[in-house]
Amino acid sequence: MTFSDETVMAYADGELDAATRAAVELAMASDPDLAQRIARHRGLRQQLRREFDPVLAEPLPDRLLAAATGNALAQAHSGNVVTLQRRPMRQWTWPQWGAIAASLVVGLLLAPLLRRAPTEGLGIRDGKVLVSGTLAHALTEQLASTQTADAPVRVGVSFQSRNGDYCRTFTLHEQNAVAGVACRDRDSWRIEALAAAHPAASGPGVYQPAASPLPPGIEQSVSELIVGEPLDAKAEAAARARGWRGP
Amino acid sequence: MKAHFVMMAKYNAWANARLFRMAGALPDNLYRKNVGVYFKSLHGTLNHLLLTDRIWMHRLTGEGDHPEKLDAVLFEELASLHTARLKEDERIAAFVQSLTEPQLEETWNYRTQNGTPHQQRRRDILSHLFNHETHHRGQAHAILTILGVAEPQSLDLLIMQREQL
Repeated sequence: MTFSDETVMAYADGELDAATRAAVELAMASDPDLAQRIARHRGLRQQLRREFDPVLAEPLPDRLLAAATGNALAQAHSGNVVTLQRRPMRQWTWPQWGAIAASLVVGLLLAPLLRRAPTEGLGIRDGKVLVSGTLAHALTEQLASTQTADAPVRVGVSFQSRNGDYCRTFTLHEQNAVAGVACRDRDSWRIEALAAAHPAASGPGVYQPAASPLPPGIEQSVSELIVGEPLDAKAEAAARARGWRGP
Repeated sequence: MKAHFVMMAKYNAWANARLFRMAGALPDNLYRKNVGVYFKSLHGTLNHLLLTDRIWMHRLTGEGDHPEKLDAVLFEELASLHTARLKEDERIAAFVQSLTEPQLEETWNYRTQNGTPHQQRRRDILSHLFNHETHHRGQAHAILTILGVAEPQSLDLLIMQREQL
């Protein structure tokens, strides 16, 4: 059986349905050329990531948008990225202590939110860090297409991950801004990655950017998790109506 | 010839990443503001570029969907458009990487939106795709200037080439 380049790419990116994936794996066992094509694509993907990431991390000069916005820019920066979810292709699982250590870091990053209200919280279930309170509420209820500029949580991209869960990026506009990506986990949201981001500019003339730039580590987590298209406004509303459960 | 297109695919991803970073920092109302260019706004121009790349990639690979109208908005929100753009640029780069020199020279048959059949060498199609991107990125750069952005970051190929020396 021969496979198109698109299929090979989709396999290497983990985007095939179960039946096609099984067919590719069966063919790979007896076809070294196919295995080599897949390995080549995986290598290319990593190489492209190395090209994108420095550009995504480039700070924009402060004065660049000053005239257009009447204010200094909110800039995200890389660093302090905490990735909590194992990569889909790996076969090992996180030990419990790893989740506890990760939750401490998450706690530090989310400290301003946790301090503000006693109902905010983080929990660990089956080695996963789950959120509750304001962040969980925003992830469940807020639509990117209708959210207000003063919302404490700004939701970015919504999409489906390789294992079928709905995931959403978010930015917390606190004194210490935090950006991250979380995926639906039964009735809760599981944190996949978190990173510190510079807070939005404050004071007179503050504005809501068209898209809060996500730290490169978060962009990369999205790229590794996403299957298919990001949800558009209609699909986002439909997913919310289903309680963020698969169609 | 292949090395040239591999570089152009890399440049395309690099320039789009820079452009989307500048677009994302704009206030939302300016990002959507009609400034009188062909696709009206930055929002319209960036959506058009993703759409036309998908049309050409569909013609070249037979895979992927796209709306028929050239001014269709694929993603209303910039964050989602950006995520889709990153994926598309990876797809284009992977496709270019998969081609051999003889395949670049090969004549390819495709139909335009109204069904008219055409024939072109693959390398001519790719030249058009990358040139079209640059053309509209130039408009996007001008939109940033019109909106009052002081000296938008350069999107010149030369800048990327010098950065990577």
